[in-house]
Amino acid sequence: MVDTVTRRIRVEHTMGTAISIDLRDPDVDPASIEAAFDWLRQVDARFSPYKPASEISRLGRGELILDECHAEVAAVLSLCEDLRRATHGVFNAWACRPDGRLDPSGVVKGWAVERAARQLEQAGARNFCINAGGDIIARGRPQPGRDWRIGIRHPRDASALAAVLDVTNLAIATSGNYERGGHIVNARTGMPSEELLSMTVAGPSLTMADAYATVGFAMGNAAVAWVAGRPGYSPYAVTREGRVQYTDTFAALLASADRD
Amino acid sequence: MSSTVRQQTPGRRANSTAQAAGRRLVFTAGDVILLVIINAALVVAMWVRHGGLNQLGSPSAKLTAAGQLTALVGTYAALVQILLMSRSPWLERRFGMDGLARWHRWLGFGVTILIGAHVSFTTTGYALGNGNSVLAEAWNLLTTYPYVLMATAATGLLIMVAVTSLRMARRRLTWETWRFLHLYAYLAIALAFGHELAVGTDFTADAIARWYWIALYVALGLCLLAFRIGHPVRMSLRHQLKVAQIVPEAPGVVSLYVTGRELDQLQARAGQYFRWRFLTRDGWWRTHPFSLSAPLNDRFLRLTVKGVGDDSRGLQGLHPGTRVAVEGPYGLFTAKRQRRSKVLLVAGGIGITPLRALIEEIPPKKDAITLVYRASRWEDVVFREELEKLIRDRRGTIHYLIGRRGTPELPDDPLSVQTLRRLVPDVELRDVFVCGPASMMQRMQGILREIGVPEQQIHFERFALL
Amino acid sequence: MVPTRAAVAIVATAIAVVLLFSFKTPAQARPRTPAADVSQASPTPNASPSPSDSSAPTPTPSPAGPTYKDGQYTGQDILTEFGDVQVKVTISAGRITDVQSLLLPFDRRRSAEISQYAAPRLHDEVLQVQSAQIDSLSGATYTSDAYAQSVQSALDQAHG
Repeated sequence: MVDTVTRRIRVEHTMGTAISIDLRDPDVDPASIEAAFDWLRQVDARFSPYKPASEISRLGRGELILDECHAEVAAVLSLCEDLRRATHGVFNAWACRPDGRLDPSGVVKGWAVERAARQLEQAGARNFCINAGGDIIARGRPQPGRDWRIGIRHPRDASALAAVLDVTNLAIATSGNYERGGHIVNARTGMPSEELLSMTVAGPSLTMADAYATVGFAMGNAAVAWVAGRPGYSPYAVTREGRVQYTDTFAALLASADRD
Repeated sequence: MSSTVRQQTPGRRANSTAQAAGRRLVFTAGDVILLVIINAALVVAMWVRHGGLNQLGSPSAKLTAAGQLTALVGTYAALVQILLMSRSPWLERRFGMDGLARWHRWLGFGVTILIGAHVSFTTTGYALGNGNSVLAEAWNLLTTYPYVLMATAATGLLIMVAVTSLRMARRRLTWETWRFLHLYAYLAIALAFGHELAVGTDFTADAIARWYWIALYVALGLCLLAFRIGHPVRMSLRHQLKVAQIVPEAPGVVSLYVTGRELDQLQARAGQYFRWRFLTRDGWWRTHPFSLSAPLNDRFLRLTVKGVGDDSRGLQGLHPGTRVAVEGPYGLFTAKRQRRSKVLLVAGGIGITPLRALIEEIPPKKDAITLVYRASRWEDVVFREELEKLIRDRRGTIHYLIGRRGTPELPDDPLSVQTLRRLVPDVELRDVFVCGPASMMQRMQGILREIGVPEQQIHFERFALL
Repeated sequence: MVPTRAAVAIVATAIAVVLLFSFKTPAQARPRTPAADVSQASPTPNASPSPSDSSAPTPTPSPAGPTYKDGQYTGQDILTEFGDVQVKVTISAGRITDVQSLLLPFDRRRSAEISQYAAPRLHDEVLQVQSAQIDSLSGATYTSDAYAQSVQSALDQAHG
């Protein structure tokens, strides 16, 4: 007997990248996917520093004060501040863009997608995978009997993988400069990071995984130990010399070779 | 009273010269070319090793990669340009000034195109990758990447230098203006250096690549220092040259007799030239490539020039006592190139100068030397008595071809295939040395080719005013 | 001695070069030393304007930057590219006269960590190329134009 798997995939381009939602629950209303995208578009309109009319841009220009902004803006900025302290300034939404513009992008994407995932759960979804430009939330299972199989892109070869993971109920975020050039900058030095080719972080919250991956990448070779010190999050880093470093916790996520 | 006379036999003297020459001639032209190519390959290999070929996924990545490669190759080529124009005597002896100048011209345009490509590719590649417009990305690069503003100024200067070197532009500029503007190329190379190390993806993370790049610059800098400053200063101090006498030879033509110390140590062969810097109030900052018009001796150097007193040539204000600095000797137009036992010397106007010196170094066999001297008027013929005595002593022949082309007396060009065949029936068996105005030399090239003189027997002395 | 036009050009060029060198990008202008965090070493600012100026408050022109009570302060742990750094600041005559970073070598810091809680074991291997039938691909943010050629888009299109 052949198992048929219902799979609903929707891809939308927003927040400067492509976001795909892969829903495996047959009984969940597909309108919930549309609602999730609506939410993401709303976040883009409100938070994008590249849109001059967004609240973040207007806040940055001094046209708005924080009290006049939507409550979410305050929530995101407070998250940014927490991260700034936790990373001693390596992540700094107020100083990561050289022209001094406020840019919470390192946090917003993960936070928005995590919210979207929660919305889907509230609509009854238990098994889905959201991929927002390389940052992933994997919930449940793609089909009974196996976990979500996630590949980590090889930093040097877009058609190859560096590692393969079998995961469930996990968030995975990867950071690197190989797609966009030197856009990830260590806010302390102001220079693009060059020590690592890519940095992947797995953990319970995509917001934090996204932030830690970005910070970790900017930090360079010291990142693996730093992320390893964050309870619940495990790192996988590819160095410039082509070596990979990861912790035991991450090793537990790696797909075993015999299951292909 | 008896005294022991020490005799320095000619043989011994020649030996020591040859030994001295042998010690210097360690690298050949081929070695230099090999060195340049190997380093170019190293630069490209460095880019490949850093993953240049692997990151060609998206259009923006391809453009960025192209931007990196053109930057590396273009800057390397600019450094080679410095080497070409370093006025190193031994480079010029191996490649000839006209060869170096020709290479310099083509490479110069190449460098400008490569750097222009680098700027375009990098800006567009980054723009595409970041989702900005090209203008916005350009602004971003200028204002937020270290030293990029300087590098942009450098690019502007480079373009200015290239544009003013196009033939169209050179015709509109005086030589002095063109020369002055051309010097900005040095400034351009210096200004770009900062951004190469600060932003160049090949250097920010690879210390060895960084040191190699710095080493290239240092090596070139030392070259410049040694040959543009060190060598001339050393020669000036050593020889202390002064204009001793100015002798008119023909209307507008004078011979300058320059005296000094240790003249024989200048080691110039007949036919070679020096770059002369006459330390006058207005002319001190430029050099002139003039050949010696008499073989080297220990009493004086003689150069015969046209246009002294002519303001545009920069030779005004010359008088006995004017101090002179020289660089050199340069040039391949020497008796060393002689392969056959007989020679034909073809002089056009003031081109007689190096040929006059050359005569004395040709082995004096009977009929070994034939001189064809072309001039517009008899008054323009210089060294007539000297030449006739020298040729007579060597049992050679002089033919004068005097007259202006296109006049009723001389409707056709006296320099032609038929004339040459008639005057010099065995021209294919001779080494032919030609020196004269560019148009005349071009005509001679055609004539000699038509007659069938083998290429390796044809020697031209071209003065490119650099 | 030098033709006038050339002299003018040389001076103009020199001025332009000086201007170019004085242009600093924000990254270059930003102070690199951790001295910026000295403010967290809880100093005591110097005294307020003198009480004799009670009629009209004339602000005393303060010296550039905040002034601190003399002494030596050790700041809190700061994470830099080289590892954890503690900064020791010396203040005399109300001004910062010395900043020393007490660099803790990375492995020494880690051994301190180990005593607090078990540091996870690190794997260090050569990067391999894997292949597998995956459901989704995690990679650095791709822009829309890169997405079109990405593996992820192929995955999304397959049985979509």
